[in-house]
Amino acid sequence: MKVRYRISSDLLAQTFAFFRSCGEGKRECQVVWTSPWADPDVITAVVHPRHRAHRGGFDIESAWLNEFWQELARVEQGIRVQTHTHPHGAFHSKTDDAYPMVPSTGFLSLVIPNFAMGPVGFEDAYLTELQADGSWRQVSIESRFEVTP
Amino acid sequence: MNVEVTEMAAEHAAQHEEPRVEVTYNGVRKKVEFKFSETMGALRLAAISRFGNVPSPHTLSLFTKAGVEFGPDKDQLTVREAGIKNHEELLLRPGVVRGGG
Repeated sequence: MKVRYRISSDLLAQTFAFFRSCGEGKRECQVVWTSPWADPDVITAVVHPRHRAHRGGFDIESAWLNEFWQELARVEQGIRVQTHTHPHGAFHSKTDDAYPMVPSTGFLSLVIPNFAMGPVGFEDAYLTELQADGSWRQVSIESRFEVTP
Repeated sequence: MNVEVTEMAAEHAAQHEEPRVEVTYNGVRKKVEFKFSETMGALRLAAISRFGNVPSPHTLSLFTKAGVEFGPDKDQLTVREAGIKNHEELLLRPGVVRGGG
């Protein structure tokens, strides 16, 4: 069964705020959306990982991941969606395919174009889902996300 | 009930209980039994299988809480050689997370 996640407009705005302040319109950036295991459909937090941006994209810091993994267990939350920016068009690169944060079937990856300097929302964004055979398949954003006031 | 007998029974049970680690993946904790003589590869795959469908198991490593990584390149080590302890908490997560377009 496919989940349709609900995310508030405030959290969506926060996502773009992270991208713009961190990336400054010239570097890629990633955040993840989390929710409680007791109520997974409702996104409750936007988390901005410690990472290193470089010419080809970004690398998440391993020590941060270790800390975050322990924190997720402590607060009983899980990562539902990873979201990152691209300089121009939104798509899933080979690097994006190969190194997701949660390599489980059904995991969602959202890509926002133009370093997220455009309007807050999903215009020209790209959403893809990890399949059971390890491939990624584009899915419609409307079918997976509902933005709530 | 005799306290000494109760303690001996508990100790006996502990000695005969399969060693286990507590593995965390994406905010969920699960216990995974192991043998000290088996490989870290066997433990890594056993841990992955406890968390449902992971189509690319080679991307996941076991990490100690201190950040020591046991990925596919360490699969041939025995659990004993790796220094993993009974009841140790381990993290199952990607060894590398990156992106870029």
